Formats: sequence, structure tokens, C-alpha cells
Amino acid sequence: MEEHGKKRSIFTDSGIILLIVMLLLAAFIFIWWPTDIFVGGVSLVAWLLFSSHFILCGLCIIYVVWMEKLEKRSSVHESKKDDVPL
Amino acid sequence: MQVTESIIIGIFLIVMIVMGFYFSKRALKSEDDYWTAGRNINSFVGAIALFAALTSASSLMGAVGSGVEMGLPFLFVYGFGVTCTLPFTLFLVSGQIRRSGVRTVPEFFLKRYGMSVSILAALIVVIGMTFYMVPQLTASGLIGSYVLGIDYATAVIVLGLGFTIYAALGGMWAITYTDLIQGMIILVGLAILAIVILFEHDGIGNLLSAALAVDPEFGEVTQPWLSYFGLFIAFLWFGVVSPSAVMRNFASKDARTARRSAMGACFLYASVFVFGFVIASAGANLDMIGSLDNSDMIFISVVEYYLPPILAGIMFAALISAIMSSADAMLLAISAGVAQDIYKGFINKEAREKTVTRLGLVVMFVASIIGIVIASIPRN
Repeated sequence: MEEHGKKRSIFTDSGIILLIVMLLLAAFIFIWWPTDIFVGGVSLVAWLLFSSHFILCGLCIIYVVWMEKLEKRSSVHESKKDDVPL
Repeated sequence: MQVTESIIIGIFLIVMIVMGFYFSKRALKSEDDYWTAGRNINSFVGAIALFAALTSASSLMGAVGSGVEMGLPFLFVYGFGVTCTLPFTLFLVSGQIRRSGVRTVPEFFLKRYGMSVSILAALIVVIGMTFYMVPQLTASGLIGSYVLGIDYATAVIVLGLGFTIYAALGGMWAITYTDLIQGMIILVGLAILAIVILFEHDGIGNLLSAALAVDPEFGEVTQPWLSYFGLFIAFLWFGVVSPSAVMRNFASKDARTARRSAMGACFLYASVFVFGFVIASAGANLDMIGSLDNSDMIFISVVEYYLPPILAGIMFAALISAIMSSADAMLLAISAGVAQDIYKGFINKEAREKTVTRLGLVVMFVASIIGIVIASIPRN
């Protein structure tokens, strides 16, 4: 995306940022992989993976709200540009 | 034959086929209507339809069966992998691909990379989706023969033709609205089963303790690390690469709706594995896994053990819904690949819209028959 003639870094894109968060979450679980720690008779690996479902839903909400705010801001910006008298 | 369950499945099939006839006039009038439901699907309908398209027999029977056989970590890594497909798709393609204004995945490649890549993509979609439909037909044969008391090949033909009729007649319109109903049946069926199990065991704590008492390895990591990681990586890409899922974005009203639909589908898909946790715990508690030919059948055993016939019928309809809602989306992708991308995009660019949609209809029947023949071949 270009803004004022400058190319924006891919790492400022909301989708890429949240994708990195999601992959860091997966990396955290698969690198740590605590098979021998048990909570309630179930390996901590299972509980981490289970709770990740809720984190994924949270990331989706953040992305949708973030994108809609960006779109709202850009539409306000566009309408202001249209209001400039010729 | 299980009479109550069979009646419920029979009514369900008839309703689906009637919906196909209802949407046929609207769907066959233009290419946009046939393959993208006129790009008019809202977030609520889109979310449930996308959820239903992604939820296959594997997500229900396969995940629970492997969870009971290989432990809860396996069930949850399965859930984590498949649920990740939705944010992965949402962050990378949902809004972007809807804004592109195309109808199919190969058409997107045509815009971006040119004709040769588009044709190659169409061939991969057609061949890949035809063979991917076979396991869905196999599962429908297994469940159909078990519940309806008919032989396996007949069950494959009856259920296979059932979803082909409504998908071919009503295109994306019928597929989306049947998926809406099928998605709701899946959710209601799973919720009822999980609630009945939790009441029976006085809560999740007692249920889990009982399951661990029967199978102490139920909570353990039983497979090598690579099995779990490989499963996660394999599932992660599904939502981005599978045309049956990606095509849902084209049917959304706009990019905002496509994003909201993917978000809603993520919530629903995550809930499948919350319910799956309860159902797998009940399956482990039954201690039947050693006596079954196929671990996937533990799901059926749980349904029969905990639910009365009427509710079991709804649950079996949910299983068939999961199969149909995935298979119909695959049929649509095959049909669009042949009629829209190869015929209109390459062979006859001046083809009339009605000719293309009718070719799409014929292709669906042909693809379905090929799938049924392959799925019906007896295996040792």
C-alpha cells in the first residue's frame, strides 16, 4: 500500500502483525512442549492447546475491529478530500 | 435399521433437495448467481456456511476417535490446527480476495499471473477436489449403512446423489442456505450431546476423572512430537488453499462481510472442539476403543449410549450435514473449475451465461458419479 508516495512496510499491515502473533503462539507451544507437567491428570500441552482456541477467537476480533477502524478512518479522509472546493 | 433415526435423516434429505429446487431458478439465471450467490451473502449466513463447509466428518468423528485413541493432546492439536485455518485465512486473504471481484480461485490467478497459471490452477482444483470428495462419500456410506440398515454402496449412492441434486440445481445459493441449516444442526447436535453427557456425569471434572480412571494415558502425549506438529502444519494451510473454503469469500457482500464471516466461523469451529473435549472424554469413559474396528466409530457409540433415538437421529443428521456441507462446496469448486475457468475462460470466451451455468450443473453430476464410483469400490 502506498501512502504519500512512500511504500509502507509489510510489517505494519494488521494482518501480518496478527499472523506473526498467531505463529508466535504456535511456536511457544511447540517449542516448550511441556509433556511431563500434568494439571488435573492431563498434560499441560493439552491445556495450552485447548486455551489457544480462545486466543485465536480473540485475535480474529482484534483484526476485524482494527480493519473496520482503518476503513472508517480512510473513508472519513476520502470524504474530507471530496469536500475541498474546486 | 434404526427407524426413528432413519425417518429424521429421510426428512432432512428431502428438505435439502427441496431447497435445491427452490433456489434453482435464481441460481441458473447468471454465472454470478450460480457460483457466488449474487455476491449477496451476509455475515451471519456466511459465518455458519463457512463453518459448515470446513466441518467435515473428519472434524467430528475423526477428531473425537483419534482423541480417545491417542489422548486429549492429539484432539486439541487437531482442533488448534483446524481452528488456526480461519484466522490464517482472515489475516491473509478473506478481505483481499473479496475485493478482487473474481468468482473462482483460478480466475484470481488469471488476473494476477496470466492464462497458463489459471488453467493449471483449474486442473488442480478439478482433480484435487474430485478425489477429496471421495472420503466424504466414504464416510456418508459408513454412517448411512449403519443408521439406515442398507448396504454401503447404496448408502453412498443415496446420500451422494442427495447433495448433488441440491448443489447442481441451486448452485452457491442452495449450497449456502443448506449449509446454514446443516451448520445449525451440527452445532445443536453437538451441544445437545455435550450437555446430556455433562448432566449424566455431574460436570466436566467428574467426567474427566472417570475417563482418566478408565484410561490413565488419556491425558498424555502418546505420539512423537513430529506427529502433532505435522498435523498442525497440514491443517494450517487448508483454509487458504482449499477452493471449497476460499469460494465462500467471493459470495460475501463485501470485504467487511467476508472478514466478519471468517471471524464468526472461527468462533463456531472452536466450539466444535470444546464440545469434542466432552464427547472424547465420554468416549474414553466407555472403554470401547479396543472392541471397535475403526476408532472413528467411537463417536457413534457415544451418541447411541447417551442419547434417546430422537436426539440420536438429530446427531446422525448432524454427521451427515458435516459430510454434505463439505462435499457440496467441493462439487461447486469442481463445477466452476470446468465450466467457468476452463470452458468459458479458455475454450469459448463468448459462451452465454445460461450455457455456462448449465454446463456447471452437468459437471456436478459427472463429478459426483465419478466420486460415487470410486467410493463404492470395495476395499480390504
